[in-house]
Amino acid sequence: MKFFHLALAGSVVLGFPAYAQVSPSTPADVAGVPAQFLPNSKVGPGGFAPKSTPAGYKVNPDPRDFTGSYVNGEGGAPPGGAPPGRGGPPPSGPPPGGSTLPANASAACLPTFGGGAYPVHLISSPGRLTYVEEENHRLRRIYIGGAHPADAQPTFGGDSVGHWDGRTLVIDTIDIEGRDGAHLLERWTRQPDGSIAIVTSNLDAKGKAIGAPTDSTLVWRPDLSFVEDICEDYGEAFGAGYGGGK
Amino acid sequence: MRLIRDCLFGLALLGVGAPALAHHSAAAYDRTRNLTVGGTVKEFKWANPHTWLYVMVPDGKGGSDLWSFEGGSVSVLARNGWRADSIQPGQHIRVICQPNRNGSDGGGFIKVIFDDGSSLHIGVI
Amino acid sequence: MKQFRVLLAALAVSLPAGFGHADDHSGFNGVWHLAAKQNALVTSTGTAPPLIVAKGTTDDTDRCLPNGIPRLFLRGTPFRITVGSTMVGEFFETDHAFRLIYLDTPHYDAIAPAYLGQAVGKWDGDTLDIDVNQFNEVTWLDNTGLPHSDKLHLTERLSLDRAGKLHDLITIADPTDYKAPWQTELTFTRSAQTTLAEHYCLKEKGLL
Repeated sequence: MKFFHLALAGSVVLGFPAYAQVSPSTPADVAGVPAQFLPNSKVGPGGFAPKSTPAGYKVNPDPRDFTGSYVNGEGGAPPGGAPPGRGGPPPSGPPPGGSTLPANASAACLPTFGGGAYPVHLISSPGRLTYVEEENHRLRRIYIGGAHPADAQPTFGGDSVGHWDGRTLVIDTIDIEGRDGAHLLERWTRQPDGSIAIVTSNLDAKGKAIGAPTDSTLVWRPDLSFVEDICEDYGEAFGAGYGGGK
Repeated sequence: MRLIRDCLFGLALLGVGAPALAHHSAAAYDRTRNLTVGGTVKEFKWANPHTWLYVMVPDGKGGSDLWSFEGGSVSVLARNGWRADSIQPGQHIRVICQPNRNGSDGGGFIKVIFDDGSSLHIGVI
Repeated sequence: MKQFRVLLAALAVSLPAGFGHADDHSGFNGVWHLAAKQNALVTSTGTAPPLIVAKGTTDDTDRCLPNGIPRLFLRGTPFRITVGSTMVGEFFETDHAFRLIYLDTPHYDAIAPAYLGQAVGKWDGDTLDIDVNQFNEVTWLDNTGLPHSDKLHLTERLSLDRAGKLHDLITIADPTDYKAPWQTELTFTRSAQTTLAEHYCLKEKGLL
């Protein structure tokens, strides 16, 4: 009885009804979870820090060769990427043969501009930098040495052109779908440990800076390899799904 | 013609540049505390863009309530050792979560502890 | 071949620092498409593929599930090859799909079976040898419903001929669905497109 009263009192304080199996987590409960997912984490709000570059890998001596695998560094989105569903359980997916997909899932399958928790893979080749993000298999192509086409249309990846300023790749991006008139200026410089330091400025359509530049890092992760992420398939590739397929 | 929803979605993600806060709204969960919730698994949905865990939690009055926990996406969880069949309907588990800020039954799950003491948790990659 | 080396030398003069070595294999770079429209994979011997199970009948790509390999080459859209120092990328207009072929590495630990499998490769002179496994069972090999199992193992030899056409000689081994390994060859020419269009199936099929 005393326990019941204590639990009731505790649950009133917490704002939950008297659930027998709901309680604040103990240290034992959260053992093994990386500290950044726990309360009072030193990592900033909304941020997380991935594992660092592992030892024993040789950095490419060419500072302009960005080819490799990376993860967004501290300050990037928490794992998971897409925003939570808008209330209620997620869709169970369309039946085979196709039909209208529920709005919240498909909105999350649309590509968006900007980094998330998933690894990013870069390929440097003559005249371009190709940026591949695993999340929803998203692409950015940066044309080095070119100019924005006069008839550029908004795309999810935006239209990016770049030029070298010494060892720094300066990238100018316009025509990002959903960000009318926005103008993004980035400066990418590879660091001695293989990671890429990025300084990002938002400019208005006239080229005037909006707010202060922000710093971010692509942490070099030669230990990671590409894993397919197919938003459209509701997990079928991994052995579950809504019962469609062959 | 862009849907209004797409525009709003894009604006919501504007943030301050490339990686920062590009996707996930941290505001959905109360990140100042973790909650441990025990119950019986109704379903573990191993799907994109997010995994979901549905658990029937005793309500202290003889019945039970459905709690909905949202998790990371499939490839992120898989890199941390989770698989589609890691959690079975009917299993009793304890879910460690960051509870929903709006007080509804659920949250973002970060760890699951099975009755035999084994566990799975999320992690960075 | 001499023309090819002259071309490489010319590229070498115009490239930024770090590129332009004769062995940088940049001859594959660019946008390609099938030399001739093709829906079915044809064996190199002219016989039908030695199928031991039924063909597929429901095309899951109609509901925006991904196309597999080599079917992505048969969708009437171009693709781009991007050669990097440690990986080669193939980027497809269809599905905004891509595959990354990691160079000079063995297959790495599988997380899960994939629509496009897991590709590793190495250069054999100017030919790229590609080894692909860890497919899921969901896709078709071509547009006519040629199936495959998760035991599918592809080896590909990608090379340029003297006329500048790209050839992908594909060996298909799948003991569950086919009596024996068989070969097929796809031929590509350079596309007039210099960029790939963005396609998002869910949006285009009005499934949003």
